Amino acid sequence: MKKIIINRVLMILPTVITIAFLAFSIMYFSPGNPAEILMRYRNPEGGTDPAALAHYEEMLGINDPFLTQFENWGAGILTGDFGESFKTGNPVTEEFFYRIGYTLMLSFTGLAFSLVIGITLGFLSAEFKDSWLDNLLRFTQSLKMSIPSFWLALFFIYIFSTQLRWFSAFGYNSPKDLILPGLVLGLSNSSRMVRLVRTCILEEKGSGYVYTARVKGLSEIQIFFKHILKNITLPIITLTGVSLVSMIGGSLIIENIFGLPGIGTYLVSAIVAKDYPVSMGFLFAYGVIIVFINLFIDIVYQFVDPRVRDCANAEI
Amino acid sequence: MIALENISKSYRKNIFGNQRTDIVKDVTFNIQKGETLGLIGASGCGKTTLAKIATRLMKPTTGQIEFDGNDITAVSETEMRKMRQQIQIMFQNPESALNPRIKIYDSIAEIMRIHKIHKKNTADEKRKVKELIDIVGLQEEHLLRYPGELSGGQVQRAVLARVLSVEPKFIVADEPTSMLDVSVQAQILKILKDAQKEYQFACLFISHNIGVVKAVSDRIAIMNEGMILEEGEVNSIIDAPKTEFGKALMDNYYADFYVELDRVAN
Repeated sequence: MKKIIINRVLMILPTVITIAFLAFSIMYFSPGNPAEILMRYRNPEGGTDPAALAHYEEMLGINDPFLTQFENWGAGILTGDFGESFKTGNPVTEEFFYRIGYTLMLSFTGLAFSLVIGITLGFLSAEFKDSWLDNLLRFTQSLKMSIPSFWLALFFIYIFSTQLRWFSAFGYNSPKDLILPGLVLGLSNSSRMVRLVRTCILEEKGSGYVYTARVKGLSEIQIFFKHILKNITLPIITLTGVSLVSMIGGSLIIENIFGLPGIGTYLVSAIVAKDYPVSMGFLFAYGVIIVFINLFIDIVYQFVDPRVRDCANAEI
Repeated sequence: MIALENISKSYRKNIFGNQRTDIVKDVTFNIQKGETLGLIGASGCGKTTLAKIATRLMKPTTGQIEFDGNDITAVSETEMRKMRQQIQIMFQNPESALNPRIKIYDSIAEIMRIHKIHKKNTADEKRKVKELIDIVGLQEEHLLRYPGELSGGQVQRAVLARVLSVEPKFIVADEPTSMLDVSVQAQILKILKDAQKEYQFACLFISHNIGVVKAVSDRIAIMNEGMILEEGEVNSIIDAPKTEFGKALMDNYYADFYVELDRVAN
């Protein structure tokens, strides 16, 4: 087990280098002259003085060959220096750590919603298999899968903020403001969870031990919590990991709609403003976070009994 | 103790429900206190469905189940749960009979907690479990293991311990030994027989192995295609079956028996 974990940790290195390389090259090859953009931010009324431009080009080193520039940027990363934002002049790391908290809070709120919704509805769907409730739930899941999250977000803002006035529609003032975006994120990610939980429960229900539990005199709810849940944790963990990754990615859109000051909002505005150091740094950080979540799931796997039958490759 | 009358179970064949498949057809039998009825039949003849109906894990389409003088055919699930203590079942496959994520000790003790015989992890409960594993022939070290770490025979012993722990009045044994090897089979059957002498429960013993059924039963019923073809004393059924199917079954049994005898002799 130790060997597998060490192996996984070592495998991170090439992945992270690749992410750094891609994040850097996307920005390097995008059109426009970073030195010119930086110059305009620093000195908006300076005009196009070639001497000043040359000074900024020298400062950023953009006349160096590609690999030299990549090396310089990479060396900076290793010491925790991602450069400074063109726009604000603050270090990129400072901007990042100020915002990552909001993104993680939002993602975990979404994850909690997705787990609660997924397990509850999956249980109901399996318990009342082929009834009108099951059919209704299955129909809503398919519907939900085909609804884009930004539409759901706008719809919820209309209902809960504009009409009912329960939640604020924009910005972050208190943890309560995470509920609505979290719910949208959770809902749009819960469809697969509902279907997975349903399939797994139905599969387990055919097992002898479930009949045994019934013979013992347990009710269906008790059977679910005391017996079935333990046997379907592995596929749920798998999907939770996948969901978390897609939520951190998906939070980009949701943060923008709800005006939450997370890294998604900032990254989008940095790309629009051609704020190169921020775009590169944040892209790289996004990638690294996702790599580490996957590593974490792989390690958790090692601690879950591998003999447990995995119905994750059943219909999801 | 238990009586099934004109029990049938059928399923809709297609979504329109105008055609139905019969799994169990018009089955009637009764078992007295301390008696064992052996049920023989080929795979897929509806034995397991009948077992689930007899224990009310499944409701029959038509017919009546009487247990200990009460009609339990249409009793609600909540009512049924209170009576579960008195009706127990053992399944065929030891691999899935116990929850793979729960230790043997808890698998045995859980049923006593549910029926409030002992509280969780009390000295009384521990003593009772200890007594039970002595009866079924398990060691104390087995209690802290998971089902996957035991052999099939050991799992069935644990299942038997669970069944006996609540002193039921009726036990259904659905091919409890068919996946075990012969020597283990004999030991488990002996434990079951001895326990029956002590607790006087009624037993429905299901198997496709005539030798096994003969060893444990007082009466035998032969089942085919969902129907009980004939029923009677052990020897009269085995020596002189009345139906064609029964004769064919016994011929096969004796053919196997002589092959086995031949093998042992040479």
